[in-house]
Amino acid sequence: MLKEILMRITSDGFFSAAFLARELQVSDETITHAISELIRMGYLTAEESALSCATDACAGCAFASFCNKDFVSMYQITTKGKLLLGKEVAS
Amino acid sequence: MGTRRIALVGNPNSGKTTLFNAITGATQRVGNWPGVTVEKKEGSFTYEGNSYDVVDLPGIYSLGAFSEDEVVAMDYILTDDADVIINVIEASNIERNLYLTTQLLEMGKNIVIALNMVDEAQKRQIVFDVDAMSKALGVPVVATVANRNNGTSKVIAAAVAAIDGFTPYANPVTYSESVNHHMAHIAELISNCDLEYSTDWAALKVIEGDAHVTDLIKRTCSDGAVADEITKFLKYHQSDNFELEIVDSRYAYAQRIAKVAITRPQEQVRTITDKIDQIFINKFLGIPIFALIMLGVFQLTFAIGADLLGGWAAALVDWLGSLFESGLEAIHAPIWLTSFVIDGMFGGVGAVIEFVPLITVMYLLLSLLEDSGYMARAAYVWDNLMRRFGMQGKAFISMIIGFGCTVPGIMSTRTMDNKKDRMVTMLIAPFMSCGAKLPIYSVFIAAFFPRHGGLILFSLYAFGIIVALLMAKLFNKTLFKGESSYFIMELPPYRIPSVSSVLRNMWLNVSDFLKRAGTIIFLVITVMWLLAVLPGSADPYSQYSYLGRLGALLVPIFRHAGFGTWQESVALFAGIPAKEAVVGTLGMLYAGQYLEEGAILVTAVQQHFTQLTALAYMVMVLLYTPCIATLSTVGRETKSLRWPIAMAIYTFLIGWLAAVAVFQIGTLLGFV
Repeated sequence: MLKEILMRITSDGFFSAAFLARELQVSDETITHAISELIRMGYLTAEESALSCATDACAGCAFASFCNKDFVSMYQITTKGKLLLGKEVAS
Repeated sequence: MGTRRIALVGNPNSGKTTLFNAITGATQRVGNWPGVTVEKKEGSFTYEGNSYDVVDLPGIYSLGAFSEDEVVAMDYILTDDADVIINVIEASNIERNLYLTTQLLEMGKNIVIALNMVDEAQKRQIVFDVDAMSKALGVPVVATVANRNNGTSKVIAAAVAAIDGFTPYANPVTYSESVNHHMAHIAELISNCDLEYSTDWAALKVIEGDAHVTDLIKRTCSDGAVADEITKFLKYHQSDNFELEIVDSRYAYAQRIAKVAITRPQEQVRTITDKIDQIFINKFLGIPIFALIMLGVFQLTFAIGADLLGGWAAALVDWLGSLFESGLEAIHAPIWLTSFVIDGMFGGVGAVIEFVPLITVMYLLLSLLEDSGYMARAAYVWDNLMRRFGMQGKAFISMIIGFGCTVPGIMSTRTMDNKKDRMVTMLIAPFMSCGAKLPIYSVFIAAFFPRHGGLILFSLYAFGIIVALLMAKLFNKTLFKGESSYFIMELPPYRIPSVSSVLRNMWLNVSDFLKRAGTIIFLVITVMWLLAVLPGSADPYSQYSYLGRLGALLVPIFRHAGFGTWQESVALFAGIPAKEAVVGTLGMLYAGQYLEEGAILVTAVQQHFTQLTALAYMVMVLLYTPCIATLSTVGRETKSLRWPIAMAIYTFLIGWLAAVAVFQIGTLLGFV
């Protein structure tokens, strides 16, 4: 299942946990857990897509309110992940 | 018979602690696990004359060494002498909870399953076959609703019965051939070590790469050769995917059990989200749909923010201005003070404040889009387009942030690990039209294109994006060659936007606009006012004032773009400290000039510009040198003076060239 999840999300460039769960006939939470396992094992990395200005050092900045645009979760396949899928590793 | 021990283990939020409370009642003791800050809860109960101790282990998803909670739970299960483990499973989320159960079965532990919160699962129309589940797992399963104390006594009875009736069983999980082969090899290697747990399980954990268990084995085995052999094995197989294979085997087992144990209601294969996404993230339709949505946003912004509410804000500023003017006259205030308050503050800062309704509506609509889940789709469709220009999806987030303000748009590039992507995104950020430019466009649109406000605004934003993408391509081909990083995006389901979240987001943006009007814009307008009324020998607001003389120096630069008066030129100069100051400066200068006529800014603009020069002016504003805050942020982020200076120059040149092109081509085509 893990390799299949990795393969699907990599080939599409996007995924929806709900859709993947229905396709693989598991619960949404299982997909979420599987993604976190793939991250833990080093096949994927979870990317920070926006700064969290509300909580860090820039909280006092006049522009801080614009920063929290974390409306999409992003992941990146690692070299280990690419090797697993038999893909050519980018230099 | 001594006191028997029972341990409770389960996922967080599985109702484990509720069951612990129901079993132990008021006999609890709370402390910490030795050496860590993880809370330890213990209690006891008496059943049929015998007493039992109960320990509530930390909530965990799996038995690894990846968090303090997991280490505490695993160490306890490995080394303590619990006679039976009650594994609490959340009935609505059985597959994920069964992952932990699978790991307990791998260890060969004596377990009883408490299938908890079955009432919640039944509400979701999930049907259970507890007997089939028990048979498939080979351990007792009891359905419970711990928060209503349902099934608690049955769990106690099953746990007590399991203590004496435990029969050792084989690991039920099926692994791949290679895992089995290596497991046998490691098991043989450690067979002479005096381990407190099964050698097969220990071998499995070594192959899985569990550093905690591997260390325990190395420390326990007195034979140093064993530790060396394990180290060699792990080094040799580090590029193998044994861990993934083992985790996958556990998932497969958990899925097999779940299929036997539960029946879910037939779910739609394609939900509304899937159907909408088929169109919204379509390779060919995605970008046109995004464009249509943004066009709708701009049309509504003008229809509501300017046409419907804009007049009220302008009337309020005018009314307050008249009130202050009468007040100042009544107290015989000096002329300079009246001039400063009426021309500088109400003509200048007031001209910016009038656009609050417009800004409010625009941010309200953008917040609605963001909260609905659409922006994640927009990021995805843009990611596809931006790859062709050598950029990555994270750049879209910086661009979206840049629509509000360029400074945080540039700061958000800090999340990019790839230096090339980061530099390119920073360098094109000023071409995203920020919120501060909105009042400038609004004045010119109201003066010359009142019926096509949304379309003009949309075209300006779109033009900014096109220039940004072309510049990205240029930078990628010349200064920053190399591979971009590509990302996988998780699309959340569409949802009805939350009123509080949308209003909060909108307010944050509007309050920032107001804060800027009250601070930096006020400061810039004050300086501009002083330059416009000094020296005392010159007529205020005339070309002989300091500001007029500065403007006259700039006029030759902008003449080819069609806006050749000193007021228009100097207003662009004022936009470098803060873009809103363009409107503020024009407002102040025209208010000073037409004071007797009571002219408002839009009317004054109509007298000084034509449709064509207004268009050229807006294009210049869109692309020319960003504000000082943006330039200093670029300097800080790149740790160099070179980049902000280069940015100030190339943006000015691009803005000027585009404005000249608009004016000259327009003139050639016969537009005025």
